[in-house]
Amino acid sequence: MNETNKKIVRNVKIKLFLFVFLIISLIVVNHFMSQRSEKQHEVATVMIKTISNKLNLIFGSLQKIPTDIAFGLGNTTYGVEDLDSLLKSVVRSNDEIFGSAVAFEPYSFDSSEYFYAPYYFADGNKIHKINLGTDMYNYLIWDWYLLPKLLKHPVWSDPYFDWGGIDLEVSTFSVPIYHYTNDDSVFMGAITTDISLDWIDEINDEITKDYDGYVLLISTNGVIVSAPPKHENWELNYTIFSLALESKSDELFELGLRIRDEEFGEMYFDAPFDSCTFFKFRKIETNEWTLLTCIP
Amino acid sequence: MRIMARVIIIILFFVMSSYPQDLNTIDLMKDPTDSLFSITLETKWDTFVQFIGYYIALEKGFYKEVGLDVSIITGVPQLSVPQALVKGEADIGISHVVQALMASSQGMDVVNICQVFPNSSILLVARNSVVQSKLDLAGMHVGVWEQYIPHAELLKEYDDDLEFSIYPVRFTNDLFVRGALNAVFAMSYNEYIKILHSGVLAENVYIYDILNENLPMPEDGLYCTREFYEAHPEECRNFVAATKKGWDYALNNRKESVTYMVGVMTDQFFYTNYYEQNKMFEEIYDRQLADVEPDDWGVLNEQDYVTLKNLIEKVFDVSLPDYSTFYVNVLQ
Repeated sequence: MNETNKKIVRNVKIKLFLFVFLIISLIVVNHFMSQRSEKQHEVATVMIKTISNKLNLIFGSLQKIPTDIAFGLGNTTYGVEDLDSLLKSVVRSNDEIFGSAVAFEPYSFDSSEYFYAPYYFADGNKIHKINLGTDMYNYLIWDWYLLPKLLKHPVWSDPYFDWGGIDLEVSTFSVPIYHYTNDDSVFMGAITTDISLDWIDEINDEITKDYDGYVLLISTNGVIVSAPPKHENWELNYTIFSLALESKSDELFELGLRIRDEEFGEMYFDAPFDSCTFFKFRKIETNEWTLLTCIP
Repeated sequence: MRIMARVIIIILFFVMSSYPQDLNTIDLMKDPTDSLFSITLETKWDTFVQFIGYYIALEKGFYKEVGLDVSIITGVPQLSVPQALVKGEADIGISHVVQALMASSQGMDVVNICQVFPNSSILLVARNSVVQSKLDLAGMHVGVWEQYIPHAELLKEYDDDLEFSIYPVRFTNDLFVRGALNAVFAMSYNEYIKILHSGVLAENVYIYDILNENLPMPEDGLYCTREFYEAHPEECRNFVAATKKGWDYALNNRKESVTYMVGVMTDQFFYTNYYEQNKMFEEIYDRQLADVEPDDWGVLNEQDYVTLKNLIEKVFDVSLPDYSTFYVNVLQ
């Protein structure tokens, strides 16, 4: 073998070695990546489930009180004092409930009163009462009354800031009151509880403190209710759809639609923020808001 | 020369002694707004870019430049702007022509001193799974803000094909998005954008746009009581001129102005973001301001007024003021 041939063989050997090394490296990296990805998916699943369980428990207990009362109100006779003590006890029952009202259809509680809607609310240790139905406040046209009336089921409002009240983010849970007869049901009014939401961020931050990704809580209309501290400005200011439109991300918009329509699911795409590539979501059974986790 | 110097010293002495001893102290103690004329402006409702021109005029000092100390208060739908003006809760208010004319018919003597938005932005939005044409609205509940019920009545009278049933509501977008109502009124620059930002696809809605139906329903205009205008015509003129400057500035400096409004809203505890407010501002510009000739800015179109006046008189059986009684071109 002459010198030239030796060189060629050596070159081929080197190239072959490099090629094999590259292939092996790719396999190894891919293996570790897929292991990491599987691990991330497992962590994401656990994370969402943990928060979901916790929120389900709390939302469930907050919903139970007005839901039980609604049935009683529609099917037994209550006097003014009974109603007053009932609402007081609702406000006292849970630290997160700071206000509760029962609002009736015109003339349905008292045949001489068009409006009847006592509202009790906590102010420090004191509980105050006001009547909501006035010429200046026609509760019959407000969302908290109309949504359960028209949808015929309990409704959580989108969160709002209770300015001048408790000065916190709150949501109103409204339950329709029906009077049931043998073959019919008649809408009588709605019972509401106003619930502060500051505890949600605390739960979210606590559970996700050692987590690589983060978790968003998204309302029925797509409003971002809870976000990690680095995206605090998203909270209540953005819906997942406005975030998608702003960042021109069709995939994020599609994720928003899936969150609205599906109980759970996952999507892979390059998000327009935080290098997120994997998204997993699950609805909270009790109030139909959705937990969405994003993993870089 | 020495005599001249003495004369100058004596003159200086008299001049100096006629001034207060500590000019700086006096200036600091005096409220700089004391010499300004105070005006309270009431907006129709919650703060957002719909009112950007007024907030920018205030922020940039355009009102102060013309001798006005303006404060802006947020209106509430339960008390109409004309009512607030008559009650003395505000000096100038932002209202619609329909609302102002309905107030006039009830004896509230208000005058229009500037028509900022010449067109209608009201849309009737419906799910196209249910409504493909206006005829499909027959018998349907359409969610209408309580204070816009007269607009809906007028619309039904104007267009014989519209036979929907008016369903009074406080807000419309949430009821629509959640499917509680399949058709609602929505302002093109407000509720409609919020509906789209709640995941409703534009391709899934049917829109009846009043602007395309040639029914003139001019929106935001500036109103005050006739008494106020007659007592303070110069201040009204200056207010309108400074307001125009505010709108011009906002249009020429959009990013800065919208960013400022987002800050104002945040301070007032309204939830929003720059993207949303910018979209709303774009729609306001396209629909209300883009086609207005500079000389026509703030002018209430007489033909529009007469058409609307005749329709209101017919539908509500009321008597309304003539154009020249209702509208004053203060910039002329």
